[in-house]
Amino acid sequence: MNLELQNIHKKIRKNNILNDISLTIEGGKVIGLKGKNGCGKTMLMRTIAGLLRPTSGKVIINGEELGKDIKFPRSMGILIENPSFLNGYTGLDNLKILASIKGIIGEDEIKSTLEKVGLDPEDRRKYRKYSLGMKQKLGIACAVMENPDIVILDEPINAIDQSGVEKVRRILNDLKEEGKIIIIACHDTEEMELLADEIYEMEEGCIIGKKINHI
Amino acid sequence: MGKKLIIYDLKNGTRNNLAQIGIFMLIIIIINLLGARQITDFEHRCHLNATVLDYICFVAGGPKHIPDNMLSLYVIPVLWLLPQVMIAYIIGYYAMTDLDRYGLQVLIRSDSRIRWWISKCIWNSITVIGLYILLYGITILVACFNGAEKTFRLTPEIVMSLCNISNVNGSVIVHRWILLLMPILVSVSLSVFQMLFALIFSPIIGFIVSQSIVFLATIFEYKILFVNYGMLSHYRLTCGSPIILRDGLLICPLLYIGSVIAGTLFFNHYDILPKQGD
Repeated sequence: MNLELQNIHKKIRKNNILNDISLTIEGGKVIGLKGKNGCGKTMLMRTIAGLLRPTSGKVIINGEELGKDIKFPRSMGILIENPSFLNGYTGLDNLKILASIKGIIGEDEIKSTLEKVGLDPEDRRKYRKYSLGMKQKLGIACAVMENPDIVILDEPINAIDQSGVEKVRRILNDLKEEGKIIIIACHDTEEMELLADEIYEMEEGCIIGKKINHI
Repeated sequence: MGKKLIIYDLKNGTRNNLAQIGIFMLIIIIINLLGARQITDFEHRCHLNATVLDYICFVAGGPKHIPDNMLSLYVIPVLWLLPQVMIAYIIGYYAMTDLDRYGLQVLIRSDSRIRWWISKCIWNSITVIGLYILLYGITILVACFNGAEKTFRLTPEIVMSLCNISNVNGSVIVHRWILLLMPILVSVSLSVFQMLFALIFSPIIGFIVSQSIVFLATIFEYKILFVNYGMLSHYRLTCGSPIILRDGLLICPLLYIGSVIAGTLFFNHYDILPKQGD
């Protein structure tokens, strides 16, 4: 698994949102993005996810150029900003609808993912009744349930209690051991240090620093 | 995968709009009750029997023809505009709000921006056709309940007095086509056109553009204001305007296909997400 960003620039209405970002990410690594609000973390994640087109530069995933050879990464799970699901359905039903689009996992896998993040698959409460922490956990379950090669998580531990955070760590470690690429953005520097192998600091759309973390 | 996307959009889009669809039905019922009262009074006064198509003409026949240089005669056709505004409102927001929320997860799993756009177009068209089925269905029910003749031909005295139709000339079959097919064809084309604007610019701009075309068409019988093709009252055979069925049958599908292709090209090459973010 290999993800390469080559000189990514993104300009929106005369503002440079991303400035000459080049990165190579190998599978089996957790990459952390940190920086102040508005520094371009979410935009970079959206670009990697194929949701934004770079103004110039390339995103190459396993030799295939995003936007040219593929429209979205072939195997990806994302949680960008606040999770949002269908209010009138249970967590399980929400994930079942999404899983049915690709059809690569069944109900058993979904239930097991829900348990991994600390949600009860048999919980009959509708999504609208979920607490913030439960919504966040469901968002993480949604991102990882199909065992994707690339997992992009923006503020994954927002509103999650300590036991939930440990579960998230365990999930990310499992994915890492399976050789997946995990990209996270997190305001909590301490937590970032615990989760990420490499931490990139961003400012005004540029990467201004890199720290290799020996976990 | 495409079929699953369409099913998702149909279910989710309908569920998101249940309240609005309820309001749409209520508006149609009210318009029909007003129409039924006027038609019944007229029937008693003139010893005539209205048909089901007369009732449909009251609801979907279009606003009054305004002769050139006589704009002072214009009265906003509220009864005709209300369903149009509701249709625009129902289809105007779903695609964008879906993309902001759950639809993002759907989009990345669809593996294709084009498939996502086509699915939204199909949802849009099926929704508009469904709304017109409701409109016609309710109208036919009210007409039958009110003792209308179950035939699809217009009664000239009734439609010329109550339905803004200046003249009833030409073939019965043409009237039928214009009343039963053209409002749907126009609305389906306009709705996809509106959704394209909503996604490229914003839902409110899409709504304003579509409703401006609708509003201007109630005043001016120009061919370019294609909404005229959905109004029997603005056709050459009823008021001598340049609006003819053949043009409508050509322009509306062209606009529909053009909007779908423009959306396909646009979404394949440009950002389709709101441009804010960290």
